[in-house]
Amino acid sequence: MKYEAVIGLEVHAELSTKSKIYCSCSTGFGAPINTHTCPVCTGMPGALPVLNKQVVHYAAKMGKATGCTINQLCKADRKNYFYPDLPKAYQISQFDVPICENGEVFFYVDGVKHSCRLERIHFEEDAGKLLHDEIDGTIVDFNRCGVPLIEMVTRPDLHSSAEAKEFLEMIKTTLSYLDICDCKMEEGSIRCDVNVSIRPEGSTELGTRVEMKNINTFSGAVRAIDYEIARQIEVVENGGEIQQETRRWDDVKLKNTVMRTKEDAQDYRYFPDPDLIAVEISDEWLHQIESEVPELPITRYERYLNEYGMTAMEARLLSDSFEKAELLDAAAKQVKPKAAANWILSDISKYLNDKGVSLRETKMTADKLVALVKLIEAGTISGNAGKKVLPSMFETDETVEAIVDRMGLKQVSDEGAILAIVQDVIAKNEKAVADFKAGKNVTGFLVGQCMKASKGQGNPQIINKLIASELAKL
Amino acid sequence: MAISRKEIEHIASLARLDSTGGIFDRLADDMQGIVAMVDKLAELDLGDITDVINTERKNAFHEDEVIQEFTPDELIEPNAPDFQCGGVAVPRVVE
Amino acid sequence: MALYEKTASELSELLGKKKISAVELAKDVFARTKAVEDKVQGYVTVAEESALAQAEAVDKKRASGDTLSALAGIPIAIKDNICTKGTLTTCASKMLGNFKPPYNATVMEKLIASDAVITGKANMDEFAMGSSCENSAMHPTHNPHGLDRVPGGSSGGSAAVVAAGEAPLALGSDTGGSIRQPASFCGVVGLKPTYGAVSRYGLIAFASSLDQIGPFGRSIEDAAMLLDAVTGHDPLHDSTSVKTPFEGSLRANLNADVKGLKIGLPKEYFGEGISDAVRKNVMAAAEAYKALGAEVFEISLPLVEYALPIYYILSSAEASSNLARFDGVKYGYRTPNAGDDIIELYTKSRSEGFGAEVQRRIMLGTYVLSSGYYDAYYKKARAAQRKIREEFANAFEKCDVILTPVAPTTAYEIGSKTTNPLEMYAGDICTVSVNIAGLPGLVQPCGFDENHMPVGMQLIGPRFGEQTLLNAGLAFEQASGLKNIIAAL
Repeated sequence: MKYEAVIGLEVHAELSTKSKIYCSCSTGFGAPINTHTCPVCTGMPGALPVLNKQVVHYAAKMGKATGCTINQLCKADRKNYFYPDLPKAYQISQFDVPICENGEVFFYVDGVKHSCRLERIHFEEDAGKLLHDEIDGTIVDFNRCGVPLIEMVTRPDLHSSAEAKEFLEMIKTTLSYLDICDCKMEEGSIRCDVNVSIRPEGSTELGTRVEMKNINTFSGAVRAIDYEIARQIEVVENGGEIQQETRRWDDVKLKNTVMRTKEDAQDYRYFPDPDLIAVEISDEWLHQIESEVPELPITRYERYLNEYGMTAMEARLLSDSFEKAELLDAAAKQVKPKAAANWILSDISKYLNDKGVSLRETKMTADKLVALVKLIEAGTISGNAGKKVLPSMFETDETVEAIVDRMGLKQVSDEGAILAIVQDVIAKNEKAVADFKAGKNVTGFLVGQCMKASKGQGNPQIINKLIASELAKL
Repeated sequence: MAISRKEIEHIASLARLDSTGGIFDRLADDMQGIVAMVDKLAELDLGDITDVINTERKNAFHEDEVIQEFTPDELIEPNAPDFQCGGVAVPRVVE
Repeated sequence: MALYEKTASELSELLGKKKISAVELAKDVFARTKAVEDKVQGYVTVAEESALAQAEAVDKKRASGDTLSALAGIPIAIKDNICTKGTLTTCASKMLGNFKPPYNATVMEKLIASDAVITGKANMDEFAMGSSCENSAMHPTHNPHGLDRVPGGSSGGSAAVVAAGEAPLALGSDTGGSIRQPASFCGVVGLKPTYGAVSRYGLIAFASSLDQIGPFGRSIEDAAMLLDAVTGHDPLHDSTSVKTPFEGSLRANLNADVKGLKIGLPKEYFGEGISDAVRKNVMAAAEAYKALGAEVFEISLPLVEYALPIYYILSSAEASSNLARFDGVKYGYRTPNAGDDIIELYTKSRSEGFGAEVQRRIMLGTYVLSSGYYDAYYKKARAAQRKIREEFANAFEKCDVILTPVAPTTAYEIGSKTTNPLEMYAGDICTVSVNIAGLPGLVQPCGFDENHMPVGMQLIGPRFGEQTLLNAGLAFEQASGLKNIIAAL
């Protein structure tokens, strides 16, 4: 029998606010143990939470970017359970009225457009970190307690690990477009739990689902999903039944093991947090949030394909990066998109990679890129000279023209001036003339000599043309 | 409604209270009377009144600014039952 | 008259005019404490040394010509569930027997800024759960007016030290009557402010949506003075705190004129179960108001019948969650008997650290929030809470204040109600609705019963009706002369 997998995801993203969700402690990553703490985030008796306004703003922004309905009146609820990384023994989350509901995320898998509905997005606080290496027991570091998260819960609309991966990539790209998450996977900025079930192909009923936790990378999600689908098929093929349970993925051993069965399902006793009051997002605030959502990655991707005539690979590479896409679109108003895109995809990307910086950390602007492209198109500088100009464009406030002047890279395109050089070179290279007369091709040699004589500034096309005509006269 | 011993033990385990200890038997007995007392609420007809979100007051926020006032040695260490390597220590937990 | 026998207002004036020093006053108050504390046992911690240092500092400030607040140099006792930085804050629980908070409650910051002198931490029912102070894990407190009787609870220690002359003022907290009932039992003034009027930051939570910190004193003016000092919006620390219309001006605006004041007497609060002594004295107060020119008439608040279940569901639900943090991990009691098992560490720490009443409430609260029971209990109680709020709002269309008993009886004998928790809960019937509705409630003495135990009366006002309550209270206090009652010990 053939089976179809049905996959749903719960994605947690850490919001890149400066301070924590319910106190003013820093969210900075990697601080010494327990140095980003206060009575509130360590759950001291008597301490009370006050919500970070930016968290509401960011969560609603993600909702707007994913087509969600924003619940303009929402609240915080307590999720009660005991664990050493949870100092209050409850997590402040959202239960029955999340800030965003009913969205949809679009993405491409192998050139085919897919969509996955979002059931909800809510904001909540992160838990602390348990350290097992220092002592026999466990030490609790509360620095991550209270770092704001949004949890995005999908409908079971995904059917393969490839779809899940592309969905996750699109979530990541969207978060970075909105500038609400660092998206540093190695710091755990984005984490996900996966729900997997299988059913006979063609069936519309949902099978018993298994939840998998401890998935830390997107590639790990792919491995975990593929493993679980195979495991479930094997169980069913062998006449077994899938148990509703939570399994723990081990990305080293590449297998999962049972963590919790249905019987020990937790009872979280959600109820509205009486220490917090209702959150109301006014129409005005919501319009403000909406106005901050830029053109989304998928829209740009499609535009680059259809309007800029790019390949899928080029369109993807450019639309994946908000900064690059912004640079391209700004430049494309004045020069050919393809010309700007080539620079961005090649030398600009290489520079950023080599230096490990993002565009906004450099002095590159769309205006500079436009100037560069125009100078090359006008023949004022050569493409090679353009590459030499680039580092200064990132690093200084000089205009491109000023850099070209300073570096003496301006091309000589004046035919009179070049003709003098060409004639001079031909006169000085009797051997080459002799070789030419003997039927040998000496153009390359002579062009090189002319470039040398012009200190690299002669326009090579003009030199070529004039050498041909001068040789013809011999 | 009467509440069974098994249910009471389940509640105790949710609350992380020891249901084998000395006072628990009395506690379990008391629960019957207390639950019967709160059951009186069932008589009250509230029509369609609900209170999903209390809207008496809305929007109390802090601005997104960092204030770091405490160090772990003054905040956590003095009251920690077991403080090691800069944090509270507990028996090994691995889920 | 010894200094400890004076009201805070009188003392404030004497201090202001430099007729007495804060050190002199503190010494007198601690001398009284030494004389009577063995009998009353109102404190968990007496902070004589730091208090004298504070008093000395106040005297220096005054000597250097600084203008000081009305509370400067006035001794104040603090209920032991209010966080005092570096000073034991136990909630009268074994769980927090060694807990020294790393921070001050907002009210403590305000009192420190007012140059008040903190006498110590007052006894209470463990985690504020109880109505007799017998649930303290430390020791019971005795009613100064009858040492074999309870002082009421949960703020029994605060009420008792004020009644005994061990401090002219005290802070308590009130979740279902925990300021008002002990004030009534001990013959002092106690005020539970409108929910949100006083910051809860640093008050170790029992039930967040019901808890309020409030003042005890031996006069209306004294209660107003202390409330003035601690009230105020606390946007950085307490989302539920509000800006009140009276911020700091209650004492200045006291006015004993009650002519034309409309006073409602809810008939349901005077039914069977209310002792004759209580009924008689509260009705006499109503008559006194008539004589002062107030309009007194009967009203109806039928939902009081459901107040106890609503209160016990909501308060226990919140408590079960609020007290989950006491798990033996970060602070407080950790069992020595857990071995290497984290679940055992939780379970044993909590069962060994919490007393029976606290465990009962946690059990009830966990039950009403648990899967399958949430709708019938918690959700319904929330809806009923709205209905109670509406009922009070309607009542305040007709009257300015509501006059009721505080408790069915006067202070009872220690040990007489400890076998059946339901009997104890029934004593909260007159006070819990005020918390459920978030309203202010003022209690003051209105007479004595046949055993010379004080009888209190309760005036309930609309939201932010504190000034009206205090004005009405002042009118009765002046007419009755029932003011500054110190127990003979």
